[in-house]
Amino acid sequence: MIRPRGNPAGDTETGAGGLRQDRTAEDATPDSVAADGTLPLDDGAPQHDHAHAVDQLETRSGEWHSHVDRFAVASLVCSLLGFVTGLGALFGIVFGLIARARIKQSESLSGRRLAMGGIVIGMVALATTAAAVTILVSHLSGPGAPPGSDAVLSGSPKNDVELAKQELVPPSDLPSNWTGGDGSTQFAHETFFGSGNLQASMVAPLARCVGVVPATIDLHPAEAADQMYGPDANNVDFNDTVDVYPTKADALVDITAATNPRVDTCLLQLVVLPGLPGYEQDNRSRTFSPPT
Amino acid sequence: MTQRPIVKAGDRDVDIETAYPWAIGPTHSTDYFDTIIVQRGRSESNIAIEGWGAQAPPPLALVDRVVEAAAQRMPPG
Repeated sequence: MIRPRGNPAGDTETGAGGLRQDRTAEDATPDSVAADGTLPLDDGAPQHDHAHAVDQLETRSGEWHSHVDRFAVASLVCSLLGFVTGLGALFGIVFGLIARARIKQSESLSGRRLAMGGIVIGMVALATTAAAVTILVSHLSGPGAPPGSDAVLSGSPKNDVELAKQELVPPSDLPSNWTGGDGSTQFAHETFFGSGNLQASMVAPLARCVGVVPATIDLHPAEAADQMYGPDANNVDFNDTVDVYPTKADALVDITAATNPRVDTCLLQLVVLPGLPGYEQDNRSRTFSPPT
Repeated sequence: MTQRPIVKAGDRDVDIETAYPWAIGPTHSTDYFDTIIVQRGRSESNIAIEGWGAQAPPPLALVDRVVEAAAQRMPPG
């Protein structure tokens, strides 16, 4: 039951016509004051029933704002904000539940419907936000994800193909006289060591020479894209291969092996020289000479 | 094989340059192979600039340019 904070200057009652009238102690005659100090009704009705009617009227009179639980109000506000922020809906639901508990335990608090509204609106806002996030993530993870998006977090091989393509250095970032890239890409599955070109039989010897386990130089990133450019009538080639590894740790393995100080010598001895049959290397000048 | 200092654009960036001098009779030159690795998150760009019979390695300004272009297109992770 809602109790008015009351009028400190006197009591309140209704007249026979149903209109509220203020009656102060000065209005009361000694005969009209009962033994318990309460004022009798004009029609002689019991004072406690009269007080109950006053309570109900006070409830509708406008003073109820001061008794509405603040958590109920906060619940509604936060839930409405939840349509904008998402997180607000969560607060709205929590505040609504707190308000309901407080109102249930206290007779001086109101706002049960307000709290319920906050909870319901909060749930709707939360569901709307969840659906929007799901659609957004699905859109970003699919083909056409903009460069620099968080699509990389998806980890899906199919998405990684698209991601690798989008991360290729575009012709617009290369010197204007460089041509060759027609926009198409090929899948290279190629790491620093060029495992796409490196013969399988060379993986183990190269790993032994470098001093690493074979897996570190025979990585197969999920997907890769490859494109080649070069300046017109020149002997310079530019090639970009993008790998998207399953994890950041896998990417770290590749660059760690590539920067191993023994790689130079090992590649020369095991890959370059065998690919140049008859060539000789002058150890002093490090010059290669073709067979005579 | 040497590592050249390049601009810092990704999580890890390195330019590994391998120079192969060669001589055929009186003619001599050097082939330069620059492997530029730009890593950001799970992505790795392996950029190769190959100069066949070039007189000098690719200019660092060009290397820095492609490194920044590659890193810019990679999502952070």
